Amino acid sequence: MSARTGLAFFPAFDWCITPNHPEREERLLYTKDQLKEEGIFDLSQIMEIRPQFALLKDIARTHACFPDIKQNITEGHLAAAGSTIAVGEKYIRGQIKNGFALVRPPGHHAMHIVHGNRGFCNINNEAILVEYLRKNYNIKKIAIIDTDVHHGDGTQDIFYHDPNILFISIHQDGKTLYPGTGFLQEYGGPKAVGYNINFPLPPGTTDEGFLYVLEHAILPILQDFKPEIIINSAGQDNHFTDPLARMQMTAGGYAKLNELLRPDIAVLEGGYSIEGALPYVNLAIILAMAGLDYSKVIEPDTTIFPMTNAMRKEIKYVCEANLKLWKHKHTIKNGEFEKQGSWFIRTKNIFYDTEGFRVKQKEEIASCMHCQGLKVINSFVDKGSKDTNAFIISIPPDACEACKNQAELLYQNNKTSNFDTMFFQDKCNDKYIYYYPLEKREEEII
Amino acid sequence: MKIFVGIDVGGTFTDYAALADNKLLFGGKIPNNNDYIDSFQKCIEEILRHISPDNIARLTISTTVVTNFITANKFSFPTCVIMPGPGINPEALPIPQNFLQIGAAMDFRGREVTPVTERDEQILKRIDTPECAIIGKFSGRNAKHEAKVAKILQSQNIVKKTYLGNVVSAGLNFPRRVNTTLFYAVSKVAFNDFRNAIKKILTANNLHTNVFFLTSNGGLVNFEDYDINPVETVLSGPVGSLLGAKVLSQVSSFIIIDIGGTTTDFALVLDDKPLFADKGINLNGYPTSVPAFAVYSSPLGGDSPIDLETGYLLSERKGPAMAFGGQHPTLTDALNVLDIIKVGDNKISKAFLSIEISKLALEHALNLLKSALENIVSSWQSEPAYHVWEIKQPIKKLPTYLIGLGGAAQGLTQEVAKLLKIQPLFVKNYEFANAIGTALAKPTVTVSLRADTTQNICVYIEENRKIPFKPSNVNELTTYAFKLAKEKYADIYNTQDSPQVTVVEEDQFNVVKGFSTSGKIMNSKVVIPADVVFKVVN
Repeated sequence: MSARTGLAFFPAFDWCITPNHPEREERLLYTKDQLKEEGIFDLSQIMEIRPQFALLKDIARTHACFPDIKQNITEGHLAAAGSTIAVGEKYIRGQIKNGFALVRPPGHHAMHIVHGNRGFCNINNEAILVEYLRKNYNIKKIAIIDTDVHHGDGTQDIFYHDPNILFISIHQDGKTLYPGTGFLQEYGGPKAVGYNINFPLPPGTTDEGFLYVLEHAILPILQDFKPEIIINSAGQDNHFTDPLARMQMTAGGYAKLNELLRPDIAVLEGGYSIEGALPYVNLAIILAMAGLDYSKVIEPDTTIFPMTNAMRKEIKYVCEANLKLWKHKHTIKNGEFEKQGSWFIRTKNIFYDTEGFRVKQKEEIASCMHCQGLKVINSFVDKGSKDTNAFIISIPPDACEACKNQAELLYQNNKTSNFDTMFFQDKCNDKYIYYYPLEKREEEII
Repeated sequence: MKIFVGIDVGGTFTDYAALADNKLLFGGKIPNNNDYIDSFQKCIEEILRHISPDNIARLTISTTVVTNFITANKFSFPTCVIMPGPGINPEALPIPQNFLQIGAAMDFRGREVTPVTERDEQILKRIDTPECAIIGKFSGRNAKHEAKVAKILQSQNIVKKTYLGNVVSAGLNFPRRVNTTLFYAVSKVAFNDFRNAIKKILTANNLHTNVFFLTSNGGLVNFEDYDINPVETVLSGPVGSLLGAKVLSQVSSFIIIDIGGTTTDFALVLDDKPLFADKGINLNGYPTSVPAFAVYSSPLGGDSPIDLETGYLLSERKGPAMAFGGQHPTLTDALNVLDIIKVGDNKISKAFLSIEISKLALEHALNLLKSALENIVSSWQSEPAYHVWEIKQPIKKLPTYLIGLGGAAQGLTQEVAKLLKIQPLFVKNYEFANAIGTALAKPTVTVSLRADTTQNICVYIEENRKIPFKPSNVNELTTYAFKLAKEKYADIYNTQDSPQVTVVEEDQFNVVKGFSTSGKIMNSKVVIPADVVFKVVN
């Protein structure tokens, strides 16, 4: 196996949400300058990976987009997702020892069902990578550690019912920050209790706090879960200079976190302190992954307020609670879903902040003894004159015959319904089809 | 008649060529006896036997004087003061490790992070060499610190001469800038001595024409320009030959294969433009920012010895081919045996090597060449892309013609072309390709402009100066860059030429402070690519 760290750098210099938005072309400009001036790409320990486009099918394998995929993404998204896949591919083939997809736009707020942009995200780069790797290589168990300051609600949602994908999110407490979720009780769907772990931390947490959680809770849990691949959603908005949040990490702290976690693949998420943080944190992460000295990566004007004992107590409590949960997960029942016959059901209300509308969803999971269970969703967007009523049938990769047959039956029966759009997502046979009942039209994503 | 003369001095032979009106007038080779100046003198005398000095429109010299001086490695670098600021530990950087570090630092916007302090001054006072190189990170964005350190050193008579990173090397990449500055410092004397000796010879022979040196990226620098960075005349690979192949062939896209004694170099010309390396050349293992053509090397050549049991080519040279009196059979001998070429005393080759082993040697050679070419395509295809439009570029494929240069070339080129399914192209006078290319090279110019409207500045990066231009968008900046490029070209090379300028990079970024746009950062990079005065028409 090669000793080089792969780096896919796609700053999307010709793409933005809007010209003044934090997600604009300027975001990675100074990071590029810093990396170029450092001569990062000259180091023999670094291999630069050329960005590439993802396929629409890669997206359909992960998301159900409405009204369709193309209206929810731009080429910038395809490039970010594709570059993440490129890093994953090189890693799986042993051409690099680990890799970093330094790309924009980010994706961890994009959920299974996508009706538009939320939290600056349209499609979930890490989830797309996970589904790609599972489909194309014989990988089963993957751990995603989301260290972005915001709760990774999108990634949580996508793998909520999958016990093979361990999702851990460490973030500023949802009571004080977008998206307002990520609490201890969100510990996984009825068939995957314990495989979704949230560490909500108090505002003002420093490197000490993050590293404590890593060493005392996350690493022991990972040692127990034994994933084949560890992915780090490396959002950098937990930096002490970030304008959108209130945590106090430093570049050195992030590098230390990376050094301890040893992710195989890291992917950039958020981080909007484009001068004060990104050039330094990204450099520090790259050096840590390459096993190089990062001790001289120091931000100018570092002013950190130390944590209080109350904060330390709170962090310790969160760690202990999660360790306990992990140890006893097989004895705990999920409280969010209601059992109705052979289905687990819940309704959700999701706010799309960028778009300004709400989505109401009814989510049903088959209570199956032989597989993860068929997932059926009804998603309704209230857009005023442009309502969308969508119906999604999602077959998990390990689906049993009964669930597969049930899926097929549901699909055929609902062809005469009055849903605006139906999406048949067969992760087992890698087949993804949109159906429009009113037009009686079928469209497969190939 | 306007005659263009090219002389390639250094190496086993000194080559010369004279061309005019799309024709090669004459060319020749003079064996070197380790005294370049003597060889140059003999060359000039030989040329003036054919033509009168007044008919020479232009003389261009390509030389390995600086290359040889550097690779001989009998010099010591001046003291190197670095200001790396926060970032990679300089001990991990590919620069000479006996540097002196001080704490002053600049950031990526050219803002001072840490000033030059008393403590720094104490460190500087301890320097005891006559010369000193001073390089700071991001000094291209703000040269204040380098200037201040130079002032301290010179006003207190600590050193006699300083070399500043921001003056020697434009653009981003601190380790490369450090190395380029150091090599600039050590090679100045050797280069000036050489230049003065040449000048004497030219004056003595009444040669008052315009004289140029060929640069590492196939361009020209004016002989009289005192500020030439000698390192820019380092020719890594077949620069002159590449241009020569362009002159001698009628096709616009081709690969050249230059088979030497122990290495074979490949270079590419696409749509008449030589392919540039995206990074600079390496000198003595240190990366620099000196631009060059993209040259790919394969460790085999005419003198590669053959392992008699396996037919494999070995990498360490054991002397010339047996056909030329050597003790050990080489690839050249194998090609003799197979009647692919006929050089030296081919009977000796045939007596010593079996056809079987020769075939194996040829096969090995072809496989090495094939994989070198495959690496070219793959490194091309994996070039970084920072814009959506760059990812959309079509997959690059090798050009369809292969031009062979060098002694063993004629025979091997045919075989390589067959293997790769491309067409071999044989050009007349290929043995003088180097001098021909040198004679007809034209300047290549790069102009990089960076405007930051929040700081109200516009910088001409290569010339390291601010320019009083206020673009309101990047298109205006690019138009201005075109103008500067043409001016620079005319400055080096006084002709009626209207060179073609191409845009290499063009970016515009909104700078946002708080919630509103505070300005724009614009980058524009344009290039006048390497080219030749005319092609030879047969």
